[in-house]
Amino acid sequence: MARSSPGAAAQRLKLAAALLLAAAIGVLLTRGWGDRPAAVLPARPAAAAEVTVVAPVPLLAASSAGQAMTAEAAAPAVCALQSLQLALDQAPAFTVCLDNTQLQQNGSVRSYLLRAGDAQGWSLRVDMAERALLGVLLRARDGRAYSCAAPHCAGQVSVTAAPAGGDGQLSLRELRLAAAPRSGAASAGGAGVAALNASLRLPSDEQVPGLACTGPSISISAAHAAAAKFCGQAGAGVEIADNGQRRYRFQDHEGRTLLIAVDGGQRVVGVSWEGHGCRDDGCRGARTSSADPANDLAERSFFFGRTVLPDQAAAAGAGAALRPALVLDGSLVMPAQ
Amino acid sequence: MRTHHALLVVCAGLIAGGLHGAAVGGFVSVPVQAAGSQPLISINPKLNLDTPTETQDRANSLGTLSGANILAALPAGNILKSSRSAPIVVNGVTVGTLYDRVWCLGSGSSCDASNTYTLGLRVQLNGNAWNPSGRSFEINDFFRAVRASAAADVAYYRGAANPLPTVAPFPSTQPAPGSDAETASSYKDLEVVGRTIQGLFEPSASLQYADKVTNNSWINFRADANQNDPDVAFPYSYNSEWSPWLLVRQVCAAGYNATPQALKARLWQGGEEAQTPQAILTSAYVCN
Repeated sequence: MARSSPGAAAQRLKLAAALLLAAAIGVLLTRGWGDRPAAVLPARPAAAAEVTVVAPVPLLAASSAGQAMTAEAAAPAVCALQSLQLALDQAPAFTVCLDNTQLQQNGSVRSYLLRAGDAQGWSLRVDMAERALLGVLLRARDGRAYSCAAPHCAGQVSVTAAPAGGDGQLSLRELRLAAAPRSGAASAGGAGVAALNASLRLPSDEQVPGLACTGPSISISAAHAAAAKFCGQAGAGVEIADNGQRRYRFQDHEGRTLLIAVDGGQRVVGVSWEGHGCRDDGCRGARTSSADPANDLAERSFFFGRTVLPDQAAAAGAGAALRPALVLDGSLVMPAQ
Repeated sequence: MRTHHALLVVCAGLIAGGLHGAAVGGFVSVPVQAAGSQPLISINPKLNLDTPTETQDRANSLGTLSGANILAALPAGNILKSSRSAPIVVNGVTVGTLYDRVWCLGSGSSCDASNTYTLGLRVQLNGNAWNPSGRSFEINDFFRAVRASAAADVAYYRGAANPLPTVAPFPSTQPAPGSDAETASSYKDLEVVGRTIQGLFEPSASLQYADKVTNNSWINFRADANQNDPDVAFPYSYNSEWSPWLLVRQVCAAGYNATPQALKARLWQGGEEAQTPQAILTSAYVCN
């Protein structure tokens, strides 16, 4: 094909720009400044007329204080990171765009903190311990607050993660929160309920300063899944079983435990992790050593080289679907007790 | 006023314990309490409270166990069943290490039929800043879940690595406490105990040794631990990065959980020197 001259190309560009400008002016004249061109909007749900969203800036979408705006007046939010659907006091739901999930650990309590950059200043806090819900608190900048505590809403909140841990998701399904008294106000100004739906991304411990492994660690990998790093961040110890076995436990901050059984001959005779495990000769590649083996409280190292942990539940014929075996590689150290 | 109240607590404790004259070592009984508000049981409360000479009576041996290490200090017949160490995390910052152990009466590796278990915890705190104040974390109260329906006996072990003398003269500089959890020395004693989950200044504005609401599911050990304690004043008081071993003995009819249970220990900074009050609920072994 013959190439156009630079002058002709410039002419075509000017013409295209003029056409686009005319089209845009036409849209504005017929639909008003408040609407955006339909071409940039996602498909509206069937009940579009009841959807309550305000998205003057896509990244900071939220409704005003429970004052629903219809989709005729505002476009559905397009959130850059993640969002939740929030319905207040039986009003139609609207979208709240949220920042990335922040993770805060205090002892056993793991808090997931989310903030919206919207005018209402919504913030959400979900407290859990070992993946069991403790409570949820939703607050707005003006003092409105909605909450629930376990066990009343435990069924509506769940954390899912890869079998070996790592990045997960926090799911809120028809989570209903009751209005709490406004902070700093004598009377409850937020009577009613808030209903939440969301699927929120969770960071792994490795992404959180202070929780990431800094010493020896192992990788726990499953077929078709990314390997997770584990180092017993939440502690390690030993149990002296009645049969004389030593059972060493390494825990993470979500209560997952790697259990290693060692016999009197310093041989690893069992390893288990989250429903996966091996026994006796099946624990190939796992070994332990200590400079003071007679001292149960002395520092002790564990080594894993392609140690395979099959799915114990499926192997026991419990009717569960067979999950891929896990493979352990690396080393762990139980510090001197 | 607070000092006056402390003296009342001391006297009440001595009378409650049936003690006349010098307090003696060994376990102290903490019975199941009636509902309502209860006085704390005095062990070795602070003297000259909130003054520059605030101190404790090192000659007071009530509730103490002595020995070359913690196992040697326990009554004969105890064997180790479980031990763990875990970071103490607050705001994502590790402020120390929690040591948690289970012993029982028994032999070899088996507990005997008495099901008599002693659960013990101690901490070693570091100097890490855990909030914008830049201060190190201080623990004033240690709580652990216990069997609500069973009587409990409590005791504490000060350590043997480099202990303070029991009588003057006391060192004019900070002693080195040692680094082994088995033997390291604490330099603050157990002040009071109680079956409650309320600690120092709980509820807020209450006095240091105010009565507490009974909660038989918990035992409270009041003892300060802080690597950089704002109220340190040699030779009256010292930094104590190690707490004592804090021990509770009960009959655990169904044994104990070898897997530590979440939310079964509470470490409380009550704001003795105007620090931000902060609770850390963490995992611990549990008597069943």
